[in-house]
Amino acid sequence: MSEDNKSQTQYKREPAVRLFAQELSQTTVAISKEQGEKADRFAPSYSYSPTGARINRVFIVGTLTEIDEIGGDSNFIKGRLVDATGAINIMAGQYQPEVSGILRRLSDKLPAFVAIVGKPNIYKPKDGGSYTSIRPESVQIVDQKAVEMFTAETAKRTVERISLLKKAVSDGNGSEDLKMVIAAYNPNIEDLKNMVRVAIGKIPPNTNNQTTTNGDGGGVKTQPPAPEKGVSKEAAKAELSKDQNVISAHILLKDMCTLSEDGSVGGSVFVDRIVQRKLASADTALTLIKSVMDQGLAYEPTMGRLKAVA
Amino acid sequence: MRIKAVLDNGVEIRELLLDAEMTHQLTGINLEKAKEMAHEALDQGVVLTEFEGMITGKYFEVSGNNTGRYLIVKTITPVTITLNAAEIEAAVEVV
Repeated sequence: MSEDNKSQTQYKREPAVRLFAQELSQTTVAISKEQGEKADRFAPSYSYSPTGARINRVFIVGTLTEIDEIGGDSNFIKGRLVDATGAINIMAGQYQPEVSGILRRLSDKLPAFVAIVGKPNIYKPKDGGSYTSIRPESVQIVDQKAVEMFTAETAKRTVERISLLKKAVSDGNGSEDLKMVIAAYNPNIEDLKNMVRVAIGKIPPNTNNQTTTNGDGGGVKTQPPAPEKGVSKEAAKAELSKDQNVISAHILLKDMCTLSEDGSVGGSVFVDRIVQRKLASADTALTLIKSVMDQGLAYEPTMGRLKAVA
Repeated sequence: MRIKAVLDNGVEIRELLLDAEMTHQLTGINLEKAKEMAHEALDQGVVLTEFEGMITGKYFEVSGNNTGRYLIVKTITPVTITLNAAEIEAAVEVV
C-alpha cells in the first residue's frame, strides 16, 4: 500500500496498541487536534501513555469483573477489565449499541475473559484528577490461552517502548513525542519495568519488587506483604503501615457504603472521613484513595463516587 | 459470501478479504449454512455475529496477494504464542 494512496483516498485505520491495564489507566495525556488551516475534523486524535505509546486505539485482554448500568435510561453501561497489572473501566454509551448489548448479556456470566478493542477516553473534571476509560468498539469472550498470548505480546511491546523511553531519558534525544511524554510523566523506568515483571508473574503486584508470600499472582492483594530479608526494617515498617492504612481505608469505605442508600460514597465525604480517622492528611488522602483503587479494593461507579469491592 | 476483516499487530494494519472458500475453510460456514442460520434466527445479523465470535480478538497468521487496499487471503491459520516469562524477564533486565 503506497503512502500516496493512503493520503489521497482515505484515512488508514489506526492500529490497536497493546498495553496493560495499569499503563492505560495511568494515561493522562491527550493531544487535541491541530487547529488552524490544516485542521481536519477527520484527523485521528491521540493519547500518549507513560511508556510513550501513541494511542488512538487499544487492544486489551483481561478479566471482566463487573458490569453496571449507569443512569436511569440505561444510557451508559460500565464494565471493569482487570489484568495482572491493574484495572481499567469500559464505558459503552448509546452509540455503541452492539457492544452495550454484549456487555449486558455478559453481566450474569462474570467473571469472564474478554478481548476488547476500543478507544481511550480521558476525562478531566474541572476540580482536578484524570479518569481514563475505554470506549469499546468490540468485546469478545476469549479463553485463558488468549490472555496468555496477549500478555506475552504486550510484555514484549511494552519492553520495547520502555527501552526507547530510557534511551530518550538518558541522552535527551528522541522524537518530539517522546520528549513530550517525558516532560508530562517524568517516567520512573524502574516502575515501568516492574509493571512488566508483574504482568508476567515474576513479582506480585503493588509491592515494589519485594518478594512476598501472597499466594495469588494476579489477583487483588488481601494482606500486607511479608517483607523480604534484604529490605531494611524501616522501609518494611513504612510499607506495612501504608498498607495497613489502605486496608483501614478499604474497611472504612465498605462500612460507609453499607450505610449509604445506593451503596456508594461521595469522594469528598470519604476524604473528610479519612482525615477525621487520621488515616491520612488532607493532602495525602487522595493518594491513599488512589492506592485503595489501584489495589482493586474500590472503584468509581460514577464520577466522584466511590464503592468498595468486598 | 465473504469476510472483510482487519488484521492488526499493534504497529500496522492490513485489510483482509476472504472469499467464500476461505470463509468456509476458516469458519466452517458456507453460503447454504449461512442462509440456514439467518432463516432460523429470522435475522441476517447472526452470521456476522458468529463470524465475529470466531475471529475478532484472536491471533492469526495470514498470507495472500496484496492488492491496492485489500490483502486477498490465500492462507489464514490461528497462531499460538507461548508466554516465555524467562525470556521477557531477561529483556526487562537489559533495559
